[in-house]
This record gives sequence, structure tokens and C-alpha cells, in this order.
Amino acid sequence: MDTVTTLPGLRPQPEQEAIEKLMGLAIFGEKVAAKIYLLLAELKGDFAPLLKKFARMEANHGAWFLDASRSNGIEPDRAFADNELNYLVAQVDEHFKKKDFDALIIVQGFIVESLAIATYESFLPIAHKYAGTFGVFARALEEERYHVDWVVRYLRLRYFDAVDEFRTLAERVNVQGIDCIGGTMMNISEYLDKIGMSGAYCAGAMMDGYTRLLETVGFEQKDATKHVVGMFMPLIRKYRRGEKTK
Amino acid sequence: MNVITDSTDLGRDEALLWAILFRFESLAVEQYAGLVPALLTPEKQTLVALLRTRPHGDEELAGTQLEAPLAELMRSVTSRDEARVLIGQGLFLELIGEAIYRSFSQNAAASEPTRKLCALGAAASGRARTLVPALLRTRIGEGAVLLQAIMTEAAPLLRSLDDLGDGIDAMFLDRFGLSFADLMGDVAAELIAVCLDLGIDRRKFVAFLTSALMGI
Repeated sequence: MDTVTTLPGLRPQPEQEAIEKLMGLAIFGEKVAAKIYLLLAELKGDFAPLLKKFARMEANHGAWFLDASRSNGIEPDRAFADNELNYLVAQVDEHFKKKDFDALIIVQGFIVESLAIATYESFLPIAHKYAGTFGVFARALEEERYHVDWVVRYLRLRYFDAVDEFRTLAERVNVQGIDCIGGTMMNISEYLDKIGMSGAYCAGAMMDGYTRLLETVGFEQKDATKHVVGMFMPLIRKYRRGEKTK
Repeated sequence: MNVITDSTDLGRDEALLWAILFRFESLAVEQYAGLVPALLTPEKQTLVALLRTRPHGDEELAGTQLEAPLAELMRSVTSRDEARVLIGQGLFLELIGEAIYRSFSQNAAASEPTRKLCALGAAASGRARTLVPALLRTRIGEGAVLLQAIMTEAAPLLRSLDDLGDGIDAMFLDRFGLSFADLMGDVAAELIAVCLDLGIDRRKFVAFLTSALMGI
């Protein structure tokens, strides 16, 4: 697949800046994901071995993406990533302080993974532009889905016959979580466009993916859609007006 | 008609709501009569007759945040093309209308005449919702063909909705608890259900909705 590569010096400046921001977010986002799975492992000893394994996998993704970036002349934009991720880290720390495993697993397993899956999926068709990226993003995507599969199974069992309780939890976590991660989705939209992806398609894919996850744990389809669209609308409107989403 | 009590002394917010609905429904009746008579149902005609018992409400709308975006929205669905009317008015505006009617028909902050008007409106739009899918299927098609038509015909409408959102929040959020974000959540949920039944790929449809609302 990696047959057409643009040398860094030949890449248009707007594309170069965009891919550096996106790779920065992917690399440092994976590091944050690894940290979250380690925190989750601390909170639930029963699942610690598995959650630590997930953390290692996330850390590997970050390392693969960094190698692929460097070999393509892409210097990941850490300042941009930190700015996007700080709000998430603050939320994560807050949930951890309260020992709120279920809130943290929704933030990581549903919201953060939805952003990763939507963007990695959409990246694959253009990955040939950056040598060596197709394989690592395809594998990372497969592994993110594997993580989500476990999270869905955990939540389905945990909230079996208690969908109302799950709904209350999801609504509480989503207000901040979607504001944060959905806001990042809006903020990277123009950069996705600049490297040949569609920011709007990725945003739609994230909304749809997240809606489907809520459905798998017990929300009715219309209810899940209403819930997710209601939370994304303020972000979409801010994007349309060129306002900062966070 | 006799189920409605006197609507002459509505407060300003509700008078504004009636004025907006009058515009929506008058356009619907006019366009359905010319292009999609199947949607000119008895329920719709009863509703419009009731809305016509009040003045048109130009003075209520004039100068409000809703005046210009409402005019733009009406322009975006006014057409002599059957497909545009069927998609813009029959599918999208009927679902938006139904969401508004449902919200007000059960809203304790609304007056009795408004709640009753909105119960009739919800029934009329609900009836349209049952008729529109078959009309879309026979006149335009299903699946990818229909999605393409929706993307063409509904994009202007969706782009004009955003400006209306500010007005809706400003006029109706505090008193009635109706927010544009919640309204769009309701509408999107119904739209997606209808589109799935018509063989449209869900992810592509959600991506289109997102894209149009983002103004891209």
C-alpha cells in the first residue's frame, strides 16, 4: 500500500503543518490512553493484568506512530497535542481521584476510542501518502476495536438489567467528555481536510460510532442518537462560526 | 376546531410561536397542493385552518432574531420541484415541526390553546411521517440514489438552520425549556430512523448531516 510517498521538503506547507498537528495528537493521545488504562488497572485489581496489557498496546501505538512520523519528515506538534489533551487529562484525574472506574472506562473506552477509530479508519485510504503508516494505523485500529469490544462486554455485564443506571452515568460523563473530545474533533477538522481526509466525515463517523456504542449497552437507537446529537450540536455550531470549542 | 379555546390573548412568546407555525404550515399547504397532494391530509388542513383563526403575526416576528433566519429557511424549501418539496418540506420540515409540536403539546409552561394547537400539529406531522417514506421510495428511489437526492436538496435547508438556532434559544429556552440542540437531537433521531428504513447507509447519512450543519 505504501507506494506513493511525498518527500517532506516537497510537501505543501499547510499539509506539513496539518500532518504534524495530527500526528502529534495521535502520538500523545496514545500516551494519554496508556496512562488511563494504567489508572483503570489501579482502580480494579481483578482486571489489572488485562488493562495493563491494553496500556502497553496503546503505548506501542504511540511509538509506532512516532517512528513512522520521523521517517516521513514529520515532527509531531507536541504543543498542539498538549493543548488539546490537557482538558482530557484534567477530567481523567478527577474521575481517578473519585475512584470512579465506570466513568473513566466510558471516557476512555467509548469517547476517546470513538475519536481514534473514526480518524484512523478515515486515514487508511490516504495512508499511502506517508510511507509505512498504513500498516501501523491498520494494526492500531484493529487493537482499538479490541479494547472497545472488552469495554462493551464489561459495561453490558455491569449494567445488565440496570440500563437506567447506565444512562444516568453516561449522561453525567458525556457532558464533559463529549465537550472535550468532540471539541478536539472539531478543532482538527480543518487539518484533516488539509491532508486529504474529510473532517466532517470523521466527525460524523465519531458521532455515529459513539451512538452505536451507547446502543450496544442498552440505549434505544433514537434515544442514543438524540443524546449524542444534542451534545455535539453546540460544538458543531461553534465550529461553524469559527469559535473555539474549548 | 371546537377543541381549541380562545387564542386571542396569547403572550408574546406564544404569539410568536403561532406566527412561525403559520408560516411553515401555509407554505406546506401551498406546496403540497401544487406538487405533493398526498401530503395535503385532512389533519394538515385542520391545523392550517386553526392557525388562520389568528392574525398572520407579522408584527410579532418583525425585528426578532427569528425574522431573517426564518425567511431564509422558507426560501430554502420553496420550490416548484417535487423532489425538493418532498425532501425539504415533507421530510425535514415535517420532522422539525413534529419535534416542536411534541415539545409544546406537553409543555406545562404553554397555554392551553397552544398545547392543543400543538397536539393537532403533532398529529398532522406524524401523519406526514407515515406517508413520506413511500412517496420518497416511489418518486425518487432508495439507498444511495435517495441519499444523493437528500444531499442535494436538503443541504441549503440545513445550512440555514444554524442561524435559526440562536433565535429559538433566545425566544423559547428560558420559558419553555426548548433548546435548539435538543430539538436537533430529536429531529436527527427520527431522520436516521426513516433513512435506515429507506436503505440509506447510516454512517454516510450522519456524515452528511454533520457536514451540512458544520457548513462544509
